[in-house]
Amino acid sequence: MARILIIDDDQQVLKLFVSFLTREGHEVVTAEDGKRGIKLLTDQQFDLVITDIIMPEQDGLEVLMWLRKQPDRPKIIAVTGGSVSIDQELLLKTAGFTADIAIPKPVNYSTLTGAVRELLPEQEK
Amino acid sequence: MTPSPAIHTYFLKRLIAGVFTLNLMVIGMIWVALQNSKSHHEEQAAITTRNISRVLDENLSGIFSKTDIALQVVCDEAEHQLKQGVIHEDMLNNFIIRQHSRLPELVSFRATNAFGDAVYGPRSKVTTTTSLAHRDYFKLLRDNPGNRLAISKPLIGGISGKWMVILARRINAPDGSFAGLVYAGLGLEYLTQSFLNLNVGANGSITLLDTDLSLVSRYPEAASTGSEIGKKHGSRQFHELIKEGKTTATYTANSSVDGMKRIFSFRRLANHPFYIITGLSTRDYLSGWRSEVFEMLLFELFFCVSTIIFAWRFHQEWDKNRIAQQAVYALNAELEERVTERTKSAENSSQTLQSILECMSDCAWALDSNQRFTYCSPNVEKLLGYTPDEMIGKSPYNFMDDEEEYRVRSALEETFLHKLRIKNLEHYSISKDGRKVLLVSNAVPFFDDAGNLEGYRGVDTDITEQKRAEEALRESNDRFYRIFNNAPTMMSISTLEEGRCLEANKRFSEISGFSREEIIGKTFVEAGLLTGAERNKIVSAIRSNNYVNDLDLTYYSKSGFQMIWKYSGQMIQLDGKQLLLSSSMDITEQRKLELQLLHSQKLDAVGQLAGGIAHDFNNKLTVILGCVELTHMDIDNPAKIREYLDEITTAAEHSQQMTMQLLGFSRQQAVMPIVLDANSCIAETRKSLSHLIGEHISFTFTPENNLWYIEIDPVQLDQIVMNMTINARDAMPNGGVFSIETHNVTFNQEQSKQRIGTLPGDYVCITFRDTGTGIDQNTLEHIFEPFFTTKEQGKGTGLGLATVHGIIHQNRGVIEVSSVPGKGTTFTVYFPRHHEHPQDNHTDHEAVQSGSGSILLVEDEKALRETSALLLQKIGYTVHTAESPGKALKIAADLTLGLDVVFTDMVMPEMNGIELVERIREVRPNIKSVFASGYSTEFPTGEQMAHHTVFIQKPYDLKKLSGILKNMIA
Repeated sequence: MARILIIDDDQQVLKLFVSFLTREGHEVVTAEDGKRGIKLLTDQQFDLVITDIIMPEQDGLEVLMWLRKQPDRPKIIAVTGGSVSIDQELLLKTAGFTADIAIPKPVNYSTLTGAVRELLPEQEK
Repeated sequence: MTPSPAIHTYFLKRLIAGVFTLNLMVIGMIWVALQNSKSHHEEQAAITTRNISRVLDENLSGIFSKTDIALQVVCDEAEHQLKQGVIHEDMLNNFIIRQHSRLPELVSFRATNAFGDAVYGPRSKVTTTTSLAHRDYFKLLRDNPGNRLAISKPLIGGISGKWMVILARRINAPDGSFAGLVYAGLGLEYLTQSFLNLNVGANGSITLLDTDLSLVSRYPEAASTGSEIGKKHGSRQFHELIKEGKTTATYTANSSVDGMKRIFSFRRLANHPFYIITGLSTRDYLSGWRSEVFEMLLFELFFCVSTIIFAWRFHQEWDKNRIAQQAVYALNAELEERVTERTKSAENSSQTLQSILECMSDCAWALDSNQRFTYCSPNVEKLLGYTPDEMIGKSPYNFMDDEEEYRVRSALEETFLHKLRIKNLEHYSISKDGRKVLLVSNAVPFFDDAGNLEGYRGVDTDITEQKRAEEALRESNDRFYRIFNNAPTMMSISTLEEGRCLEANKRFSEISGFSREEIIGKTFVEAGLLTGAERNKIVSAIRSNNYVNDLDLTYYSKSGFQMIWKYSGQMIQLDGKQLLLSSSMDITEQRKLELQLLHSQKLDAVGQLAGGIAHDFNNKLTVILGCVELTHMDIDNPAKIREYLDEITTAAEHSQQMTMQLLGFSRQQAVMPIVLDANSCIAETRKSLSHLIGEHISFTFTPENNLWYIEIDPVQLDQIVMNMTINARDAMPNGGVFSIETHNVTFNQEQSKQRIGTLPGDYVCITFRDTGTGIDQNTLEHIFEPFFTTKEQGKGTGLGLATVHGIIHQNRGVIEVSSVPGKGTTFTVYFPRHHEHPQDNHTDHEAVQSGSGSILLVEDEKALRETSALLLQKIGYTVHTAESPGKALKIAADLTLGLDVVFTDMVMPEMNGIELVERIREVRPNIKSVFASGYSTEFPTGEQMAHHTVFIQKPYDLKKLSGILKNMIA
């Protein structure tokens, strides 16, 4: 059981990921853009952040940048939207910082839940 | 200075005023003196009248007292005799006569008995017939026993017949009863005569009044004196003074008797009831004063005449002086004028010379025969820093170093020897602050009368700066030619009109292939470097602006190779001529590279587009795949499954819109234009736009009444409105107003010319106006280009306006944009009017329509084929499926099967949909066909569009498909 924040501008994607993760027994909080995500991260404690990269307002890269400065940060899964290579390249460029795991869209159930399990083994029931 | 006529008049006025004032003063003094004199005379007269009155008082009082004493004596005698028993008539008569004799002034002196008969007194005159009993004084004394003197009013004596005043005393019998009275008559004539002794002047008057103010006596006697006696007398002033209780006073009044003005003094007698009034006539006492007045007037007249004569003479003298002075003034003025003129002329000359010397940057000087400065103009200080005083007495060589002194002395040796002019001698002088100043001297010798050289006069000019500038110019020219020659660009100097080359640099020769010698002297056209037409472009551009920049021109090298040069030219002044300086760069290679770059950029753009679309598509695919996974997991939960299916549908529809937009941009969307009313279409779209645009922006729609119809795919119109709205929203991050308006407009010939792509006629105009940030001119030129976006990465594909532009163009419309940065932007779209009315085709889409008939379904993709077959069977159709055109032909060849419609994919292996249908129609000519495709370009042209043919865009929905089939088979 983990506490997870999902940041994605696509409502359908948010809804789907919530279905996936609640099915796995996690507590899930959502944010529609990077700005709101950072606000939630400031106010609350999370074990894991799943964030899209390309979003309005502050995008996923900014969320990653912000998280990098936090002393006790949660684990991160970056969900990259477009071509894997382009997004990965962007991620690498952000001052040598990458997410813990980057998975390309389309994302299926097993990929997402598998990545969560990999990052949070101790949370498994 | 000349006295003016005004001064003359002024003087005359002053003179007259002086004379008048002097005379006035004298008259004033005379008047004061006369007034004093008159006062003195009046005072003297008053004193005189008062003295006379006093004298008369004493005189009259004496007379009355003497008479009273006599009366008293007689009264005593009579009473004594009565005490003795009886009055002895003779004795008393004698006694009375004795007393009377002492008082001759008395007209009568007698005594009466108790009955008033004057029985006692001088006998001869005694008469008994006369009784005094009726007289007032008798009655008074008879009735009042007191011892008193009674005085009567003036009366005419009964015995003497003369005017008199009776003084009487009572005689008492021994018992005190009335025994008679003694009386004496004092003649008024006597009193009047006594006044004569007093001098009251020719017109003076003396008047005696009793206490009733009745006249007793007056001097001089008036003609009517007799009748006046006993009547009230005295002037008004006198009466007033009496009323005031005065017993003595002096006053001036007009006489009540003769009207003459007099000064009066009155006085009440000390012991008797009478007033004495003495008057001196003003005519008398002022006669002396009048003489004085006459004398004084005479004096004044004399004085006046004297002063006038004197003044006249004085004026004459003054006038003479004045005329003489005028002459002097005139002379003076003339003299002064001459002096001023000469002074001014001299000053002018001096100032002119001084000004010239000061304005000159040069220094003027003079040397004596020993070559010592005798004069230096002030400018020497500017040149050398020394004042003229510091220069004078010194030699020019004092300001040179040894070397220069030697050089100059040598140069001037010949000149001084032959006393020649010094011409343009350049030499250095050392300034006060140690600078070397380069001067050029010019001078002429001057001589005394005997022809001996006295010295030189000349001018030094500072040419330091000039030399420096010449030096700089020379260096600049050298530098110019070095730069010109070594410039990395091609440079040439030529005439403008002819284009004849005067100079060309190394680079020019390298690129063009013409050596410097080959090209100089020729025109560029003659040399075959460029055509006359290209050359004219340069000339016309230079003529209008005097310069031209970055003109792309085609040139030909000496070997005939075609090149593109980027040409810049400018007119310059060189050696006094206007010449064309040209600078060119060979950009032939650059152009080739640019073309390549453009091509690669296009590819790059497609890559970007693919990236953007991929992101969205992947999102939707994630949803679809995820929901499918969830469906499998919850396969036993229909409610959940329905929820997942709805999500899948939404994701798929979204993907469909993206595809449509992408194809719309590339104009490959299968558009289905219909005649429609733009107002209702926009109104419908507007509902969903309100959510999109947000609450901070005010959104208005103003539709034109009776708007004309247009023909357009409603989806495309939606796209236009949607894109415009999103752009407006993004342009107004802080809120504003977004408005859409529709209008009918008609373009005439002129108006249509102004809008490229329109013809004269009717148009429906849709205006989109925002109050946002606006667009600058530079950006405006690019906004319709694909992928051009000012939005942040990830916020816009740069396809919105490009899509809009594509749609409008596809529908024979035009779009105009105007924008003011900071104020807002207005897009105006014009669509040609469509004269037909719209058909109601919405019913087709409203619901899935079931039908019946036989359909040959040709689709190479298994999943789609199976899904479509299942759906068509569900709504009542018999479906034969074929996975390839070959299979389909086989089925169609089986004429036992009743086939109504071929529903085929467009793109398939073996043959495309159209070929397939053509082949099938060879055996089944009346079969109807429905084509499905994801690309509009795959749709057949007009010729290929045979009857009973319908096209449907993939992905299609069942509602639409069912409607088409229903219509087709019915």
